[in-house]
Order: sequence, then structure tokens, then C-alpha cells
Amino acid sequence: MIRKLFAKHDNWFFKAGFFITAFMVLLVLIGQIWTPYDPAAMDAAAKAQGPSLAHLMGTDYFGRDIFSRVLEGAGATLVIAFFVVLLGAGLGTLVGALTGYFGGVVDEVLMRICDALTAFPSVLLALIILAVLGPGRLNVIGVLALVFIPSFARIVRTEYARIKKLNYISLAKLQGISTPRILLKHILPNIMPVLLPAVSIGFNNAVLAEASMSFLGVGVSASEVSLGRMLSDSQNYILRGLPWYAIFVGLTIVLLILGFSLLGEGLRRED
Amino acid sequence: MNFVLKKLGTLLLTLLILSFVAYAAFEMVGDPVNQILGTNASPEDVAALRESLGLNKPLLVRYLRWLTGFISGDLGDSYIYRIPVSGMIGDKLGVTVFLTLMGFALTLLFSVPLGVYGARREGSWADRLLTVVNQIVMAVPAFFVAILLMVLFGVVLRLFTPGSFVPFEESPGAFLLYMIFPALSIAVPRTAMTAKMLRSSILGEMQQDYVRTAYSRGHNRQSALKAHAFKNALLPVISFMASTMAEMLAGCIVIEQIFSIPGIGRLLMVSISNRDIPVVEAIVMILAVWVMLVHFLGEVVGEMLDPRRRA
Amino acid sequence: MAPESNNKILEVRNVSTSYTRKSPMGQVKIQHVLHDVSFDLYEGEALGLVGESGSGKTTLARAILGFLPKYDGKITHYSERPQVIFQDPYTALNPARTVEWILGEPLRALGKNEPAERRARIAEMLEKVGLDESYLTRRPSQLSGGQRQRISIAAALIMEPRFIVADEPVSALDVTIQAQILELMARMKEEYGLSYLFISHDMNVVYQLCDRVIVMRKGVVVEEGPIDQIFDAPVHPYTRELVEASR
Repeated sequence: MIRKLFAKHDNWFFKAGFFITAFMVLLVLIGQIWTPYDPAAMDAAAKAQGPSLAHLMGTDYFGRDIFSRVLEGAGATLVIAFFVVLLGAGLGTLVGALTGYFGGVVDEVLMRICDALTAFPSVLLALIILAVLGPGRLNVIGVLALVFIPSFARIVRTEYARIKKLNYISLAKLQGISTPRILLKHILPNIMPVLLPAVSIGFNNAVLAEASMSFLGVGVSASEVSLGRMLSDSQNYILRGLPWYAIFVGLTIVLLILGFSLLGEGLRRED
Repeated sequence: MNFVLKKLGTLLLTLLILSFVAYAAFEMVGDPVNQILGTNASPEDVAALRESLGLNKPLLVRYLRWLTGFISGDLGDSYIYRIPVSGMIGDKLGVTVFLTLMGFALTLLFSVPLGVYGARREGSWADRLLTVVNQIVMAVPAFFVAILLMVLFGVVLRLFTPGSFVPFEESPGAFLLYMIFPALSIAVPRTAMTAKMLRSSILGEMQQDYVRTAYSRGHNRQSALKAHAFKNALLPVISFMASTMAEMLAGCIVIEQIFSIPGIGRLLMVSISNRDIPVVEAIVMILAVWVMLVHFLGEVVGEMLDPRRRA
Repeated sequence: MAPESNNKILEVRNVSTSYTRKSPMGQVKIQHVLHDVSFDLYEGEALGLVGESGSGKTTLARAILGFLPKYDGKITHYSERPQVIFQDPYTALNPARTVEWILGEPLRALGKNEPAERRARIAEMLEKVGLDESYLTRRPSQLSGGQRQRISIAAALIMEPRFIVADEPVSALDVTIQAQILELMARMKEEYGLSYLFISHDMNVVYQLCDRVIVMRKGVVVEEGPIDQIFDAPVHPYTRELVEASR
């Protein structure tokens, strides 16, 4: 399947995006099994150090190894992003498929709501809802998934509304194929060229949104880890002349987002 | 004109629905009385406070009262500070609007020349380099640009002192110097996106029949570009710019936090952690009005520029 | 040529359909697409439906296939559901699927869940339409227009229908391929005793396959008769025009 995607999207966006994303995911996976230090282990002898061979990204005020903590935090952020995209894209596709295929009043009303919602920056929307619900990892997943639904629903709806009019769908109806099967087996594979880039960009936005939310203190709770949470911690270090913490956490976020955005761009291009 | 009125109607209706949903949601957050008086207040004090805050009325009545207040500029009183919200928001809103507009201006300033240049020199090494750089810069979140600027100009070069915001009234010069860095932070990623968008929009427009016709009439590439494509290529860019304005407002909340700028974003975050609902409600509504208004203006400007729709 | 039997496959009675549209001045105009169309189709018969674009023939086909939500009059099928062959072979086959999947889908709908049985039936059908098993793994984008139309015919026939609606099945193909497909359709008709409702704008094509012809113009049937009669002695001036054009 990966080879097929490479053949279909023979552009440097896709290649670069694939390798960056693969590298980051691999790093995070390794981080789940092994980190150079225990992320929580404090070392009074090595407080607030800059990057060195012993501590690739330096240490914080408690002498904890930042690289180990970044691996852990990136894992947490990716898990959040994964569930956000899974739920957001899944429910968005369901809503978009049903409204696009059946049309009618429900379609009209839902799309109006989607239009109004997509006018709002999703970060702003998520921020407001999270302010009501309070912080926590599950809340972040739920709220971000919720605010991501409209954008997926819109894309999928347009495709279903277009494809349902094509002859091969008329043919499938004449052959007596059930509607769920038409939605799932006949139309869904044909919207992949549009859905795959959207999913990739969804990861991009989810990582960005998690980082922003947790940075602002409405994301994951104080006891949980994530890249946004660490970025928020690292702020105090900058003013005291210790910028490494923030820079390394920020770079990790940038690499994650860059990978997904290149992948999305590469999947969108058909050469 | 008809179009404008119709859009204005939709705008007001959306805001009305939105304001009710937001109001109802925030009312559910919890009783502010415990928050204000603490848990061991006497029942009489609680009842008196409920009365004075108007909490014993039904939700719809409270909403309508709040809405009429909002429209006439009375945003209610803060639960925590017991002073009018409008007073708390006042100059903070000005700072945020200034930051957003400055970021927007910087975005326009950089993205238009870059986008047009890329389209003109399509396929050249400069264009390719620009595409690569754009793609990378797009992936750098505003908050990380902010951190980099802060480290470089604040900590290393000491051009400004992070965290020491100077109000405009105190020193316009120092205010501007301080604001340039947060404004740049929100402008940089958006500049990359807008330049990319403008470039592909112009190139798409160049493929259109009428531009080809202009070629065959002997126009050279440059004048064909100027005469025809640029204006039409702007259309999708305008709606993108509208969402840029909206996104920048959201970006401001994070950026104000990083640079310790006393704007409404910072006030919003403080009020959220204090559970100061009237302040949160007011700010959310102001943000909503801003976002919807910007999209409305984008649509109207797009309509006026589009010769195909202008009858 | 007379119908080969007197068993009716399809009965169309007084079918009319129209749409209203508002002119810029605000007047409501009623546009007739089909006006009081009646005809019968018999078992084993190939009925040509001829007319220029806008004559309402495709709308009529949609009504017969059950894709038109609202019309007046009555359409009665005496067979199980008809199958269809479309004009545009590029949108008639699911681009995301292989030939084997496309041909297997109607079988699955019929409850034939045994893969080996399905595969044998598909291979047999492919052979019938003049393609071999190497086509099983191909996708529509890897097929020529003529090959796609062969697959379309196979997909229609695999349901073992008695009646097939063919909406301009060869007009997107070049002349030599046209002849091959028409020949294939004629052979299948003989082999399975099929009835065709064959829609075309081209009298020549209709002549090669059909027993009887209905000529439509602006939603109205202007002439109907056996193919030779229509060709040798057209009565309506419009029919004469069409026949002249095809010579």
C-alpha cells in the first residue's frame, strides 16, 4: 500500500513528509519502550544544563533529562492527535456521507451549521468549550474531535453528492446493492484522494491545537504530560536565559507539524 | 445591495443563535455564588447575592436582559472584581485589535510581493526555493516564532525586554517597538500560507481562456498578468484573508500570553481560570462579532470585485 | 421483422413529465420533457428509440429504470429489474475497483457468496464478451473505451436479465469499435433471448441492431414502426430528416 502511494504521489512533498513523519513516529515509539533517562528522575547534580552529550536537550530545574521528557510528551501529544483525527474524521465522514448522499432538509440545516462553525478558528472554538468543561486529556480529545467534525463533514459531503450522480452508482442501485454497501464499498474508496490529505492535515491541526490549548492551561491537566504542557513550563526558562528547553520542545512540535503538512500537500498532488 | 442585506441578515441571525448557545453553556458552568462567597457563607447572604446578581430569574429572562445590555454597551459586572466588565475590557480590546491589525498589515506587506513574484517566475530556482521555504515556514506555529523572536531579539540581542510591555500612552515609540515582535509572530506563518495561495491562484487564473486571448493579442506576459489575472486571482485570496483575520485573533490569545501583553486574550484566560463568567461571556461575544464581521466584509468585498457576479 | 413472441416485457402508457421554471420576468413556464408517451416492448425484441438530444429519450430511459422520482402515466415491467448499459464508459465503472470486483458485486448482491463459484462465473462472462482472465485484476483506468463497454455489457448480463436498456452505448466509441460492440450485443441477444431498449441519435446504429423503431421529437413520439418500414418509407418529415442524415 505504501509503495502504491509512493508511485501515485511521486513528488518531494510526499517523500519528505513521509520520512519526517516516519522518523518522528519511530522516535516516539522507541520512547515508549526506552528513554535515555527516566523522564521523572530528578538529578540534583545536573540542574538546568544546556545540551550536552549526556543530555542531548539539556535538563530542567529538577535535573530531569529534557530529551526523555520530550519523547514522552510527544507520545502523549501524538496519542491525543490520533484519537482526535480518528473521531473527528470518522464522525465527519459519517455525517458528510449521509447528508451528501441523501440530501434534503437535514443536509441543508447541518451544512448551514457547519458553515457557521467553520467560520470560527477551531482553536478559538475549542478554547471556549474547554473553558466550560475544564482541562484534562479526555476533554481535549473530545472537544478537538468535535470542532474538527465540520471540516471533514464538508469535504466528504461534497464528494458523496458528486459521486452519487455518476453512472456506476446508478448501476449499483439497479444491481440491487444495499445502500449501506453503496455508501461504504462503492463510494468511500473513491473519496480517498480527498480524504487522505484531509486526514494528514487533521493531524497537523490536532498537534497544533493540543499544543496551543495545553500551553494556555486549558488543555491537558497539570499532572499530565504533553508537548504543549512542556512548552508552557519552558517559558519561565527563557527569561532566565535558558532558551534550550523551549527551543527543543518547539522544534519537536514543528517537526511533527511539518511532517504531516508535507504529507498532506504531497497526497493532494497527483504527480 | 440585496446580497449585502441578505448576508447581513444571516450574520445577525448566526450571532443571535451563537450568543444564546454561549450564554446557556456558560450558565451551566456552575453557580458563581459559592465562588464569590466561599462555601461557608450564611444562607441569607447567599440569597441576597443571588437576588442582586439576578440569578433567581429564568434562563431566558436573564439571557434577554444580558443581550439588551450587550447591545447597549452594558456588559454586566465582573463576579470577582464587582466592577463593570466594559471598564475591564476597554483599553485591552484596543491593544488586541492593534496587534491583530498590525499582524494583518505585515502579512499583506510580505505575502503579496512574494506571491506575485513566485507566479511571475514560475519554475525558476527562486520560485522553487520560495515554495520550499513557504512549506516549511507554514509548519512553524506562531507561538514558536514568538519564542524564537523572544530568544533572538530579547535574550541574545537585547533589543527589547520580554515581559515589560509599555502602554501606548506612556511611550508610543516603546509600545511600537514592543508590539512589532508579537505582530511578526502571528504574521510569519500566515504570510507563507497567503503567498502560496496567491501564487497558485494567479497561476490558475493565467490558464484561463481570457488571459490566453490577451496573449494572442500581443500582450506580453507581464501586462497580461497585471491587466487580467491579478484582480481575479485576488478573489479566493480575499476570503482567505478574512479567515486570516479570524485566525489571527485566535493566535493573539496565545501570543499575548507569551509576550505578557495585557490584551483581551490574556484577560480571557485569567477570567476563565477565575470562573469570572460575565467577563468570559463578554469577550467570547466580542470575538464572535469580530469573526463574523470579518467574514461578512470578506464576502461583500469579494462580491464587489467579482465581475461575473456583478450584474 | 416482427416480434419473436407476444409476451410483453415492458408497457409504457401515457407517460408525461415536465418541469416548471421561472423566467427572469417572473412568469412560470411549463417545459414538457415527455408528452403522452406510450409503447410496448416484447420479449426478444430490440426496440430503437431515436431522437436528437433534447428529445426526451434519456429522461424516458431514466423513468423506465426507476431513476425519475416523479412522472405522470404508468410504466409496467413484466420482467425482473432491467439492467443498463450507459453511453459514457468512463463513469459507468467504479474507478477504484478491479474488473473482478465490479463483476463480482452483482453476484454478491444475488447471494452468491462462494468465491470460487463467483470467479468461475466472472471468467465465463468475460470470455462471452471477448476478454480473457488477464483482465480480472485491471482497473477501469487501464482499459480502452471499447474494453470498458465490454465490461459494462458483462456487468449487465451477469445479472441474467431479460431486458436491457442501452443508452447510446456506442456513441462514445470510434466506428470500428462501434461495429464490434453492436455485433456483441446482437450475439448476446440471440444467446439469451434478450429484449433491448436501444437509445440512440444515430439511425445507422439503430439499423444494425433493432427490429422496431420509435422516433421521438421534443418529448413526443412522432413515428413508430418496423425498422425496414421506417427506413424505406418514413412518413413524418422529422423521420425523413433523420434517415436522410444517416445515408
